[in-house]
Amino acid sequence: MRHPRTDVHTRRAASLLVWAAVLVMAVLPVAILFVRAIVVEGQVNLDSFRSVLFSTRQWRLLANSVLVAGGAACLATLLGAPAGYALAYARVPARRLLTALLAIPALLPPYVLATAWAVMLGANGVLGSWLGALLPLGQARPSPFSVPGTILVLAFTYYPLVTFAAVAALSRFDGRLEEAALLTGARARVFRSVVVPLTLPSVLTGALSVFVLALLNFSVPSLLQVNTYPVELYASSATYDFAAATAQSLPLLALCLIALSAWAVVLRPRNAWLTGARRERSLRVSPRVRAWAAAGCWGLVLLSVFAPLASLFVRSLPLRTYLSVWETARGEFGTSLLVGVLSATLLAGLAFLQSALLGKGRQAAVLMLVELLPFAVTGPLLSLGLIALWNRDGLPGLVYDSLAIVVLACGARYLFIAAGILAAGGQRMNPRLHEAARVQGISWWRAMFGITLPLQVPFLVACWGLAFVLAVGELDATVLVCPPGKTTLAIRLFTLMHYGPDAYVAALSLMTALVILCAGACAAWAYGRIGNTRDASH
Amino acid sequence: MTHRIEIRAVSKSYGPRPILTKYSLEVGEGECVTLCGPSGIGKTTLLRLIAGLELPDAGEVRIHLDGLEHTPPLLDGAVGMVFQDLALWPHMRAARHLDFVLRGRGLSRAQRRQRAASLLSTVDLSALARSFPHQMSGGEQQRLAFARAMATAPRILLLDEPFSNLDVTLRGRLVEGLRRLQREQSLTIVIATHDPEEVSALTGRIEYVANPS
Repeated sequence: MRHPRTDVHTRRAASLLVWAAVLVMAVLPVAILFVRAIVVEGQVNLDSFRSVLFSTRQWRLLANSVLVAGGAACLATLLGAPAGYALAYARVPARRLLTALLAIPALLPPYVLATAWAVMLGANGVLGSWLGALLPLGQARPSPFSVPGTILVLAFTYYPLVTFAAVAALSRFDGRLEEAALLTGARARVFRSVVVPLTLPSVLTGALSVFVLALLNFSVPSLLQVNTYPVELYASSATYDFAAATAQSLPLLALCLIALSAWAVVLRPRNAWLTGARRERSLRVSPRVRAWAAAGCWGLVLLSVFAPLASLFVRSLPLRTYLSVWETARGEFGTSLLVGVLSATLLAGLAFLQSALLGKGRQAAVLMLVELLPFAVTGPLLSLGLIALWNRDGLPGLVYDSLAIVVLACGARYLFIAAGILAAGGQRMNPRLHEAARVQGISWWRAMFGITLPLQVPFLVACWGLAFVLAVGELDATVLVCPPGKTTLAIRLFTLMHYGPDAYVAALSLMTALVILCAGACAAWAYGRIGNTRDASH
Repeated sequence: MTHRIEIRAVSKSYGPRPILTKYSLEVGEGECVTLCGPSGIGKTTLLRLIAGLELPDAGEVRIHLDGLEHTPPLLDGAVGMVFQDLALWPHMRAARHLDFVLRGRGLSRAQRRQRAASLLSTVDLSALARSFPHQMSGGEQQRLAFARAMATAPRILLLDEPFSNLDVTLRGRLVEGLRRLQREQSLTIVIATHDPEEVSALTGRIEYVANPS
């Protein structure tokens, strides 16, 4: 029989290994940059920080970024929240199909959607020519290459986050609250004064996520030639100006911290209002409202999924372009798939160990906060940190010259998402299931592999699938570190896109989207199939 | 081959809320003690302290086995526990539940299989050996939880609200089974329940867990 103390020692050692892995992946690249920016030739030098803080241009750029992110968050909420209520409250027909279709924009890389919208809003595009005909003579047609264009693209990319936040809130909404209110008032008033206020904190959490993602997005404003803070930060990173790039990350870090604090102080406690009970099925909205809700959802799918992808397809014609893409970009497809598989496996494994070893205590909360750091400093700065850390002689050099550096970049950037998914899975699991094994004298490790791991498979699948999708489309953190001769699809697309959305770019974008959507569909299918048989919540 | 549970002036709080204050209890071999009191009074916490799933803030929990004194958790299967919500593993069939517990105890696969079959037969679940918990009724799930708790032939059995989901007939059968085990194997049983009437058929001591003042 294994001695309990041996168990504790091996667990402690494994926890230390998880901490070490997170520190090397997520903290060291950022820390090394700050040290290099602050300590110049052995002396503390804050000139680069001063020049950023006192530069009018930098503040103007930051204001531009906040305008773009705020605009995108507002528009995404206007688009996404009604769709969420339509799916989960009005319970529109073909709900599962609509849910899957509405998730597509969030799965596709933002730069693919930016290209599609540039085609759509162009002079020969569907929307561009339609708007041109509507506007009075002499008035300029709205251009996608502008601040409103960037807001539009980012909102249509990230609105599913708001939709699914609303769906999640309504799935935890106790239908009895609504029943009690219905005894005293009309349905519309009850919806307005009971359902919306209780689910609003969750919707606003979705909106806040959109704000942060849009604020840190570099590829969309860069492609649409709008100068925002991440674009400026990329310019400094691309010229290896370590001090300037690090200093420029501070305002973005501060804004992310403010957003996180707002969530923790204002929104999170209010999310607890939802009791967790499922909504009663007996409460149905009128057929007329449901028809309008369904029409709205399908309209949104048409505008945000079908129209952009169809525009790309039309631009990619003739069909032989696809043959040419396959012949010239076969290597990039292989590299991207390999990066996706390796990154997803690394992330799912590390996140599972983190969730199983650290549970939901204070250590786990601190680690999650640490894991947000490499995402919050933006992708280009993270890649600069990876260069500073790994571009050395010896073993680091071997990592730097191989695809491992790209995997590390993807891993560092998305670790907080992977950890979040597995933490949610861990919280859903009834802790008695593990304890029941411990009481019987089963070692902690056997209980982890025999009980926790099999029950967490649905969340592992979801985590692996999402990490794969994100890694295949990852551009921001890999654009500067990709070794020569090992280009990924994202980098090839990004390079070509700057010359305009021609047939080749459109075909390559569509093929990239196809790979990502196939992976996403497989993961969703596996999650649904396994999840139904492994509900460990009770 | 003697065993005894000794709880000495144990205190336990969850955050600022005290659950147990200087609580003492002694349970001898083959004894059946029923812990009574309203919900939230600390009955489950006491069972968890004996099982070693929680550590006391103050005081001591000791289990004396064959002349040796142990501090929980005992990882040799000497303690078995049936949880209030049963905590059956949803991904394992009934027979696999028992096999998983028996593995690593120096038994061959054939011996494990034989022991699992015998345990399932004892609780009248042989026909459901290949069923998952969600394919069983409440009573069948309860019996599987008992079989799992008894798989390691424990000397001490902890039962948390064991009859709360059972009808009168099933409760009677279960009580009869426990009495037999207590008689034949000198099993020490500690039961937490809010309703002492439920376990009146089991002869033994009733301990009222009081609110900490």
